[in-house]
Amino acid sequence: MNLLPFSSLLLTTLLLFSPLLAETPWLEKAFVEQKMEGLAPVKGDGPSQWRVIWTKEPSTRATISWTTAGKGKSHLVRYGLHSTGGDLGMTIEPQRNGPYSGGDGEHYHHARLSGLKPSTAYQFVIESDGKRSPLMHFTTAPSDDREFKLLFGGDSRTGVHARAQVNLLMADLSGKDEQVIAFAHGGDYIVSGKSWSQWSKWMSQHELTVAGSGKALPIIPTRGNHDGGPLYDEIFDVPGGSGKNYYHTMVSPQVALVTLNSEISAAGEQRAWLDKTLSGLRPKVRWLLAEYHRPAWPAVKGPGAAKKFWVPLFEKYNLDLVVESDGHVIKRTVPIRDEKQSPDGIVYVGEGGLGVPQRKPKADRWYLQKPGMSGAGHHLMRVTFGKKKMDYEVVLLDRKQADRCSFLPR
Amino acid sequence: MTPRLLWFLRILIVVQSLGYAAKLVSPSSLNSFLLASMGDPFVTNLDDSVRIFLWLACLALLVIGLLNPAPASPTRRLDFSLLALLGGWSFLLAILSWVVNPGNPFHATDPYGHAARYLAPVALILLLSRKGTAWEGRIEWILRWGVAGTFLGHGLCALWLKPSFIDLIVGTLDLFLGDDPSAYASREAFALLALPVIAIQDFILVALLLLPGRRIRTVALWMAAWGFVTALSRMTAYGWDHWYDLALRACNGGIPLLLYFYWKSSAPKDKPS
Repeated sequence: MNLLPFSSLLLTTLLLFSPLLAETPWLEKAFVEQKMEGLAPVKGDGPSQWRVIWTKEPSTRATISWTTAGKGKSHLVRYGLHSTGGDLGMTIEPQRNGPYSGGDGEHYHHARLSGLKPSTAYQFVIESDGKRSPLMHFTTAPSDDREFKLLFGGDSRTGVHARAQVNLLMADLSGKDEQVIAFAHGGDYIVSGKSWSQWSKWMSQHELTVAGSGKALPIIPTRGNHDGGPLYDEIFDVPGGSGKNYYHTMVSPQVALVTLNSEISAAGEQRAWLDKTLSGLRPKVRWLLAEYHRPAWPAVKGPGAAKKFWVPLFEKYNLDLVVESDGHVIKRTVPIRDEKQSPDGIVYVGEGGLGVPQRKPKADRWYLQKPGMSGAGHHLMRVTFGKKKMDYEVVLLDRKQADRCSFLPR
Repeated sequence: MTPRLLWFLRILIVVQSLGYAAKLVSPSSLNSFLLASMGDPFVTNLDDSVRIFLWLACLALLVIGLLNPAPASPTRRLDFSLLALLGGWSFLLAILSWVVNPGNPFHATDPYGHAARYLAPVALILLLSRKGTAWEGRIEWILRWGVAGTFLGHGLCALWLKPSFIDLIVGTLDLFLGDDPSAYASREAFALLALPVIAIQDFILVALLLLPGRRIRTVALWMAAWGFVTALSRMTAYGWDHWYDLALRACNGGIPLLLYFYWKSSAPKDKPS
């Protein structure tokens, strides 16, 4: 049997697609599985499931968190300025340690770093009972008006393989671009917020967001409707305070991200806080954003309480962009004010595609018509905050751009 | 049970089913349950098909109610089939709402918190197909348990301070007292105080409703009023476009009202003094 034509065809196919695969190796199942095998096991004495968390003041503070299989005896983070090469002269012990609820004795550790220099890369190694993590680094948020980028996305539950793919895309986007400084997760990390095994899988897979250079992407967490229970606070060190989980992040002097919790009362204390916070932030910052899980302007479901209780405040304080999740699609609304399209309205983007199976959006809804859009596909949103404009784009798993839009300062 | 009460029950089921149909502009729990395995557009098409079925079933139920066919006739069998499917849909959603939200204590109450919704069609089938005082007694208890489950489920959610209940109270206060930013926090504080009281009220009503050998009409009437008020709060808090949230809760107040009228009609007449 002459195999020459078949071999030629195979070779031609490989030659044709090899540049694409080199750019997007996570599209190959074997590549993803190989990466998954390399994740730090949650067993023995060493650290695993490392993550860097940002909440309120990321220019000077960050929390480095990790997991150990047991309580352990000694835990610390060695860190130092990335620019000094291998110097890890500073150490900090975790201020908060404890067993994960529902786990088999696994413990969380949170080392809250403070007094950091803005716009500075810090390298760090996590050490538990003498065992070390790989050397990683992250960059603090700027205290000046320089241009930078944030990644956004939500709904990483259910699709474990697809979630790994998006994490690898995230690592690639972050590793190749120093301007990407953090990732805001819009909630619904896993299916059941009380399931330790599901969270453990998510945290292990979160290691995939660390770039090949060792760059760790700080996460700004949001609570979703599947993230109920105590584990969320144990994993992210109670972002925004116990029972609240809402806060605002001064990502730079000109960029503020308000993270809201759509899983508690939207109408009461949180709304009062939102009113006060937005009134304080609006005169100070050029770009004012909000993020929460359940959409006010959904592309699939019915509107959440945000529409009634938060949208009037978004319009009152002229937010520049609002990021939502939950629907499992891609969407960008037309600018909305007073429940109709308006040139000075608020644009709502997102709906979640970090691995969860995608739905078909209800594209006939008035606020998804052009110049808005809707679609489906696993994706990340990348927002560039400049002095003269804010660029928004949606990046699919194959790195194709599903949507883009630019915003001018108000 | 009198023909008028049978009609009332039929209307409640139709209104509730219209609410379910309108609610299907959002994905159902069945849609969410099947999404991972079947994918879209299958799950969307399934929801669309159910919505069309619900609209048609509502129309058919009204027509059959007017025709009032004989118990063993094909039309009556169609009537029973439609009622069974409507009850089945309510039951399926109540179960799947719990299943697709694992670990969520509020959704975990849905299998009994929605009992009035799925037991109402069962009761109508039995009332039309079984005759006799003994059967009426059994059906009355099915309805009592349906109402009890609904009030127990909602009572537990109130006791656990369900956030959406807080928003219903604050949103309703906004409507009647005005949107006042300085009052948002205090209105939430009021809701947090009111909800446990509401929960205790619900539990007491359930206990009184389930007293064997007793038909306390005042309790049924109070449950009817409270059932309608709480269903109506979906609209007072969120506006007229949430009419379907009121409609699909028609049985929450409607079934206690049915019990009230049934007990009233079957009570011995007061002797003239």
